[in-house]
Amino acid sequence: MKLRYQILWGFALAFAQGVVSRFLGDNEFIPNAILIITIVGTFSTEEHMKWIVIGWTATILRDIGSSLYPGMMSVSLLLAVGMSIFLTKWLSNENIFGVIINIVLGMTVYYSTYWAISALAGSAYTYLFAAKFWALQIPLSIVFGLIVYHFITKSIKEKRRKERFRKYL
Amino acid sequence: MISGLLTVIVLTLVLLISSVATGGRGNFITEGVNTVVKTVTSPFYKAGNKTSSFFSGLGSYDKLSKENEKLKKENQKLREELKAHNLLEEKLKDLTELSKALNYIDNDGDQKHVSGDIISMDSTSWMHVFSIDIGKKDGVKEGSTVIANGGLVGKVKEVGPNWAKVSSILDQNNNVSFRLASDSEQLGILDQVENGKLSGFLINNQATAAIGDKLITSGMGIYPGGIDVGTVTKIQVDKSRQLRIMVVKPSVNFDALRRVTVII
Repeated sequence: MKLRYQILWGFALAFAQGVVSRFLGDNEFIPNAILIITIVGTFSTEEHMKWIVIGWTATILRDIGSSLYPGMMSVSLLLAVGMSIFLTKWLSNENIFGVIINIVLGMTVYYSTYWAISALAGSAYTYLFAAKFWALQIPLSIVFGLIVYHFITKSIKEKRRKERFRKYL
Repeated sequence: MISGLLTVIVLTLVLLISSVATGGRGNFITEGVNTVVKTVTSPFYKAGNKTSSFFSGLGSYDKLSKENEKLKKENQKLREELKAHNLLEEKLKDLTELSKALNYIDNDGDQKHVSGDIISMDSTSWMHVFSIDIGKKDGVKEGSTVIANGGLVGKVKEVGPNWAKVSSILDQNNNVSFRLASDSEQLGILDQVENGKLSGFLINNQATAAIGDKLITSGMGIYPGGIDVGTVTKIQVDKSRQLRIMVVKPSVNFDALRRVTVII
């Protein structure tokens, strides 16, 4: 996918997350769609840069619009993506348990980084208090992440299956 | 890929460092981006707010109906109190004439209000920073006080042509100077935020507040006087500071906030 289309997808994702979250109301259970799509896409495919561009474009727009300090979400996302790329060396990306572990660890890295930056900037919220919020998001985030994984890897799985079959022959 | 990744990392760090260095204020680039994004997305966010309010209203019919009955009784009580205060109007007129004669400028009477919808919130749910769809063109300025349903919400941190970013009183850096509604002589400061609740102390350490006491802004800090802040829910002793600390539940329900009013 060309860079300009990746950026356009990022815009669309930022817009969609904002609108859908307003329709659903402010609920602690609603997953962070941009984060989940980015880390699942990075983990399940070899096109890491494509997912980084899409996720970062969406995040930077949300960051500028709604963060206390613009840049917080983006730094947190980059570290979460780094974790996903690191996990590809240790976990299978064809196994849903690998995807689930990636989602949980990715969310932990993202929100921990966000909390750390806000704490350095003077926020007095404790880590445990902040952790309660993202812990509530985990169940729906896993469900959403698995749905995203299914769609992203549909064509990739078929391609891998044919490659293995060819190698086997 | 490495060069692309490095570009992304450098841009992000530059943005973060510059925003922290300026205390969360953006620059002309972020203001421009915000203006374009808010203009395009604002109608959809408002539609989302209305839909969400409609469905949450349906689900809480019973609660709303009980609240309606309670408000009717309060309204009746206030009407009776108003009758008793009518006699004081004459005295107030005399005082106003006297203040004009002495050239005293009363700033409270010049306050105007403009309302706006919340169009985005930060993604964490605990920071309570959000954007609204009114800005400079509506008269909103940096530092303007934001209220909702008569309760204090926070202040405007950054403002653009058609948007404003609001930092709520749940932000650690927003101290609130208050007085007790039951004893206006007693002043205090809410200077801590602990897990979603405010805490502070009375300036006169010998004075005490009771659980259930209401707090209003004193007018001596950055917020105008007389705005509901919250209710005291707990009193504990802080031995390290030798103070009686009050834990205060804000009068505004930040979790259900959809629309706010800015005092301009």
